Amino acid sequence: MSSKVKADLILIHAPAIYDFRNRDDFVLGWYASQESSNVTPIFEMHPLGFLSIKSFLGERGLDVKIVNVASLMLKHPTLDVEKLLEHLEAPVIGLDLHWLPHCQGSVEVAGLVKKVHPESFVVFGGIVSTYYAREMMQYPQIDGVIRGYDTLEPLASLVDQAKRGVRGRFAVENMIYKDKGEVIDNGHSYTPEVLNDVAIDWSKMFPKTSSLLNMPNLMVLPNTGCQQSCGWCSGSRWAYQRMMNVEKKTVFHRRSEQLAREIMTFPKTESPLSVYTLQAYSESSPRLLDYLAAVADSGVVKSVSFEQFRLTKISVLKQMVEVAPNLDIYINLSPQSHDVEISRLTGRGTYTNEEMEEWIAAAMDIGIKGVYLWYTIGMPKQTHASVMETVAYSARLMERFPNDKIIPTIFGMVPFLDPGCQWFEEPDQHGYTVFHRDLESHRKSLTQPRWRDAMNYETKWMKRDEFLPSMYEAMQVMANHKADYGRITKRSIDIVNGRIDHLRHLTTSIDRAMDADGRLPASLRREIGAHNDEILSYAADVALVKKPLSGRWYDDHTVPREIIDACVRERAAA
Amino acid sequence: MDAQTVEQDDVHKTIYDYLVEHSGVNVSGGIDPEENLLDSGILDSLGIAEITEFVEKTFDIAIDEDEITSQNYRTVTAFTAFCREKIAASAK
Repeated sequence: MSSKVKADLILIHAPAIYDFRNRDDFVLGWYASQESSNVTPIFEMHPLGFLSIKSFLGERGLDVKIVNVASLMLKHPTLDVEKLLEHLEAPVIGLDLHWLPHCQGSVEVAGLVKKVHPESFVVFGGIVSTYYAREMMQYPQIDGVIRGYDTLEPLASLVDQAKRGVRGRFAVENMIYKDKGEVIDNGHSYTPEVLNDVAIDWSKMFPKTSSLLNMPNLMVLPNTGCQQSCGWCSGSRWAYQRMMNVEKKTVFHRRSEQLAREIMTFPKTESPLSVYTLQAYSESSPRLLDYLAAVADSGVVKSVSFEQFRLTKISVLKQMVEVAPNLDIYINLSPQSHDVEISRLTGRGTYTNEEMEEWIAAAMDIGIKGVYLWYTIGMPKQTHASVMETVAYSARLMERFPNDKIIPTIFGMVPFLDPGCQWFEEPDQHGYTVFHRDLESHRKSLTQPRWRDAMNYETKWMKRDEFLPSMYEAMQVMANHKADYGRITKRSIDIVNGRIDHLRHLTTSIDRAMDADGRLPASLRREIGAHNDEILSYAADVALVKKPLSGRWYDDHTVPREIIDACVRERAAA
Repeated sequence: MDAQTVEQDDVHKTIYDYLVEHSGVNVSGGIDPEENLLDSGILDSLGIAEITEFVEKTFDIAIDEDEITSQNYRTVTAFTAFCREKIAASAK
């Protein structure tokens, strides 16, 4: 066997579905997330927390390596994953189950890890892991779950103990685990005031030269939790108070010093570097301005984006442009619907469309580079007619701002409503029906032939069968409006129309076949297989520009070429 | 277009006209041949993919992913030179 990847802790990111390759029994679709992220439907981007863990434990003298199995499987379609895992060696192996769409793949890959490394302690973390921690103890391949919004200290403690040979009775806060078959719950007492007290090192996250199709971009998370209680969000104040053992304080910030240290590691890249600032809505104006000034001072960043709940004060926008005159500044607003009543029900709706339009005009005059607007399907009181009116409103908005970078996007909240969010916990009170409640039901749902069977919810105003047609129509009409108003080219819209028409054909053919005799005919399976192969061959964005599956910060930086070659060859030979 | 019939000036003009028509920003005043297409926003990632497909079809050339670099796409002058090299290579 070739060399091994050894560490004190190996963090593994699994694909959403294992094994997604050569599947012809369900359609990997173009639904939503690919509109905003340069990822495929198997969600190969791992949580930022992996990088914090690596830095934090590194400062404690512990060696952490990140292995992105999902990314490697995409880039090397004949990779033998089990062989790859045999090349890893660590006393503790961690997997993320942070976003629910990973529930199938992460548990399956954990099974492979346990099979080849029965002696390693397999531990999970993330928001969904926190919610399902006790249920996860039923899987023999999962030894423990560390709960919480910040698991740095507990994880360091676990790795330190495991490295010293401890194999049971772990003194690790927030962990529920199994010791000789007995489930031991250490409680959930670690709730630090300061989030992730460490700086991520971005200096080596991008190749020296890479295809321009993957312009380098990175993310900064200055805080976690929220002061808002949006009913659909498991990161909301309401959800944190029930999941994270916190009460009044539900937003946890990183120290400004750590953010400054992190910014100092931003690399000088050959292509323009973009920074997406997550959760900027929970930052005070002084902190936001200090952060922006530091990003500008780094001298290596071309553009920076901010998420905002409310319309940022004009005086603050002016200061933003003043402190960062050389940066392209983008604001992301998420009213969710053009209908203010619906918007309010989602937890937003703090401004009217008229107020927003006046604000956009002022922002453009001041020098804000662009505004992204996010609208979501699956909200209370939202019908298909309302969805299409949101699209029509978006067209009017683009018409009003013909020469400005105002980019509206609409997508479906699919396939899941977050466990732990208010509407998941109190569905009846908000007009929702929840179909899958436990983890195992969600896991099974993801590989169902019928797309609607994966969905874990519907609303009084839109049934599961209505979601996909509504989404496709809304996304297609929106894309055509964007082409009409010059946001995407006429050539791109041909690709978008072709892709959505084909997906519509595949999903309706599946429904028809399953209704007829509960099975998919061979000819349809061939079509599905060909579609899945193509959609997984590149990362694609809203206009389905094919982008290489490399050069992104979350692609694998760990596994050496010789190991990959050995695993690919061995599988091919087999 | 037959690669051998492509005159050097045609390459420059074809690329220039395409960029003026499809730019991600307002370039009604024209594009300086040495202007940085990436920093100015004339080419974003979508634009890069599209102009690549355009020149591949127009000049009957093939561009590898690892050739889509800022060195080759930085300015109209650089991109024109890169395309000319590809056209010449494909004509051999």
